[in-house]
Amino acid sequence: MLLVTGGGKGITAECALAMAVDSGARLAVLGRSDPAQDEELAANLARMSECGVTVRYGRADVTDADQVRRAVAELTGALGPVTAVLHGAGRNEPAPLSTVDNELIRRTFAPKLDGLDAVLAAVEPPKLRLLVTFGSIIGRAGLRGEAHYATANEWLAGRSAGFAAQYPDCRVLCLEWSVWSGVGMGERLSVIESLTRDGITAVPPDEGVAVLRRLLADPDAPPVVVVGGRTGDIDTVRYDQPPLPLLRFVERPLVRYHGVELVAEVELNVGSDPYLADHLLDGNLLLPAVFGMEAMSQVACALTGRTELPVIEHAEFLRPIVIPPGGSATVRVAGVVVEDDLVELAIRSSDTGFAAEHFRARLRYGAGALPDGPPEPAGAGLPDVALRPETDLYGEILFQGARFQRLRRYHRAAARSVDAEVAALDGTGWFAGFLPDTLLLGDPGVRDALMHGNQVCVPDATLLPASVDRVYPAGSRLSDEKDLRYCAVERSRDGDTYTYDIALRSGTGAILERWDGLRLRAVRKRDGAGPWVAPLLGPYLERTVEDLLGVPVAVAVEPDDESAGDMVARRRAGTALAAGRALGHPVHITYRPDGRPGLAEGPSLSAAHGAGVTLCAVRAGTVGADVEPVTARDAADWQGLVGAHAALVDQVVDAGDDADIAGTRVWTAMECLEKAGRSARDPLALLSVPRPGWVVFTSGSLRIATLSTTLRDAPDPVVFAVLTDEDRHTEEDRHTEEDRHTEEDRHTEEDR
Amino acid sequence: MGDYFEHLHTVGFEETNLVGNVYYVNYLRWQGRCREMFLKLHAPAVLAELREDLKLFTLKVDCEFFAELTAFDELAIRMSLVDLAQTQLEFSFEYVRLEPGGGETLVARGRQRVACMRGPNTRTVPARVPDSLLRALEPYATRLRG
Repeated sequence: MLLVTGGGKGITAECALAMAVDSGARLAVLGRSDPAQDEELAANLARMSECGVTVRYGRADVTDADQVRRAVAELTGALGPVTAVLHGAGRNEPAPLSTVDNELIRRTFAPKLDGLDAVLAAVEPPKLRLLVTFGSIIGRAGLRGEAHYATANEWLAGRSAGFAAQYPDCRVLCLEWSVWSGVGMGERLSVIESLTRDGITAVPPDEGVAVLRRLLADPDAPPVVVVGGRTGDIDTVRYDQPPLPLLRFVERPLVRYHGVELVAEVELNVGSDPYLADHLLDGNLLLPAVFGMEAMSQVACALTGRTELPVIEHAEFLRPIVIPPGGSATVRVAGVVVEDDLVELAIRSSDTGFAAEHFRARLRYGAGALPDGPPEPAGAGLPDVALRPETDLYGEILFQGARFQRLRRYHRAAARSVDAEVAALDGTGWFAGFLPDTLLLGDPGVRDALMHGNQVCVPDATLLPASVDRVYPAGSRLSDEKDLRYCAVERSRDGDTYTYDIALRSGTGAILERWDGLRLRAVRKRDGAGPWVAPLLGPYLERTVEDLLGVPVAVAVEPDDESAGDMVARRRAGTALAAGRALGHPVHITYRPDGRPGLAEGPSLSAAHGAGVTLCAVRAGTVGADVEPVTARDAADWQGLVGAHAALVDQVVDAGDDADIAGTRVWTAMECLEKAGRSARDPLALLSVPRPGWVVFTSGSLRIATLSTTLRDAPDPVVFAVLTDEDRHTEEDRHTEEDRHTEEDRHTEEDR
Repeated sequence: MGDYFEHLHTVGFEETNLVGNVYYVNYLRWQGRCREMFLKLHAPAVLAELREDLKLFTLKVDCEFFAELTAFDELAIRMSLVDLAQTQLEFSFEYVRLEPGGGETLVARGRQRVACMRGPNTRTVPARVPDSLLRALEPYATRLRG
């Protein structure tokens, strides 16, 4: 049975209710007021009953020992012996020190001190298992006009500690509250506004009750505990302030309660943070997401004093942090400890008046070992992809500047899978010389490459990070590793959002870093006009054909190897390589007597050669592929080539194409029909002009998507064509897709 | 005694230009002079540290001008601490002309940001603001907002 004083209203009522609900104890409330006269008291008692608590109210002035004895006897008769006491009674009449007299001191001491004595005299102390008393931070820190109240609270804390020493079997907790918002003394005295001006924040009722619960559950809690929000400029409160580590993003602490909360501020410009110049997009310098994660990690380290690597969870990059190229921006990183091993962080910027969250994340410490597992590196047997990142990607589809250019070569660069080598470089010079250069998470250049290396999967847009579920950072293990192996696979796609899982391994195959669920958003989308380097065109064709025709086809485009013998040998080598790329492993191609290529078992494939490249399309079902450079021909020549489809060429011209491009499109469509085992003279009709550069034809149940584009290494336009039949499984697949989304949504819901 | 360190200076001919008013470069020299005199008078321990491996690395200097000065003007340069970070601090300077008949005129206002570094010349690294400097600056930091 829990006996409560001062418990009919305010913070004591909230705490008494929580304790009774949690423990199942019956509740006896002592107070001076008459519930019939006091609406607030009556409402609180009714609320307690509604929560399933057996509650009785006894009228007594807690400063009058006789009244207390009588009331307690009556209550114990009804509810059983008292095993716990919550002493919350108090009286606070602020008065200037010069007017404090004996009478005021007596009135102030009476409920806190005489009240405690009276209650303890009315119960049997040896039977008590728990004594909770409510003091005030004023007892520790003092406050203008509160000399008498401060003394009463200081003495209360002393008596509580004394009782703890006298009765070691009784748990004693004296909570020295700071001001509560919404309920309690502070609210009644309307001090909250003036306290807020002094930088003091009130404890919200829910949080105050949660703290009480945590302390009651913690057997190591000392008998006297201060519970408060920020205490602002009060000079009489001393905090543990170990020196902050010297870290770039902890330069100027604005708010600091060690182990609880830290807000730090830095000014960023291209001089102090020269990597910003390597992250220029559309005329704006953007703080890279990898530096956002580093900044949050630095603040979490300074806040907790923990130096081990955290796991970054639920990082969100909600708004870009923009630094004007000729100016600067101030960013604030705020961190708060929410659980023993968990820190919540957010970054705000002067660019938005510190009113909006730009980045946020949670950092978890002690999360355990970095798990190994997929994505795994591509198998051996295929040569490196003919992509030179330094010339083919950086400055072309990748905007990242020198410090972030860490992609060295690709083993695989497909629409949904990437396997590449990246380099860590020490001594990159991220910050100006007068700033601390320690990086907790390890080389940001490598980490940025883990995000931008996926760009080859979506080569017609710029991918920017939106969020990541979990990052296990490598930290200093990255130091100067030159042959890091980076693998990413697309887990799902939803419109313009692509989700990847990523693993980074050392040259010897040891896992170093892992990202689960990196979501990238495609912006700055371009059409397919080129000029393309061959290996990037494959992923683009694969994605677009799937979008337009609604069926999955694996597509690869490989530049021809001029050194591989005669033309037939060259073409066959090109087909084998392109088919291997499309499937992600080396393949053995068989040839029918008519020269048509195939696989010994498994899906169908179709290959074509032209304009210095080999195009290969693979799928389980009918497939055809063709590539032709556009050549200028007169009307008679086109008539000869396309025969009965001449009218179709005119239709395509009417839809906006140049005559030679239109002729080449129809010609490639006819070639695709032949390769799919149909006749070039089969009926062929214009279906749609879905996007710039793309024309789709239909022939019965077959669809042929054609793209007119340019290649970097060929002078003239080139037409690529891919044929498929209608996918019988489309409907079913779509259902599966929907189910999966629902499943994912549910997860997201739970994670919140 | 206000919340600033004051350095007094009488303008000389060497500081004026062709037409007789003070060449703007001198205002920045006076900032440096004021800072030096503060260290000499109030933070001799910092001077000792400067002879060891401490470096006060000036990151930013600015000045805005409101009125002209000419030779023999009596000038007070008043320095306050306006920002204190882990390794950096920022001073403000007020340039006040002391009028012959009493009274004063604000003629210019400036700022200066400084980073503390330590180590040999080729490999200096950022360092915390020395305690000796913090203690010396305490009286001049009342404009500081945390």
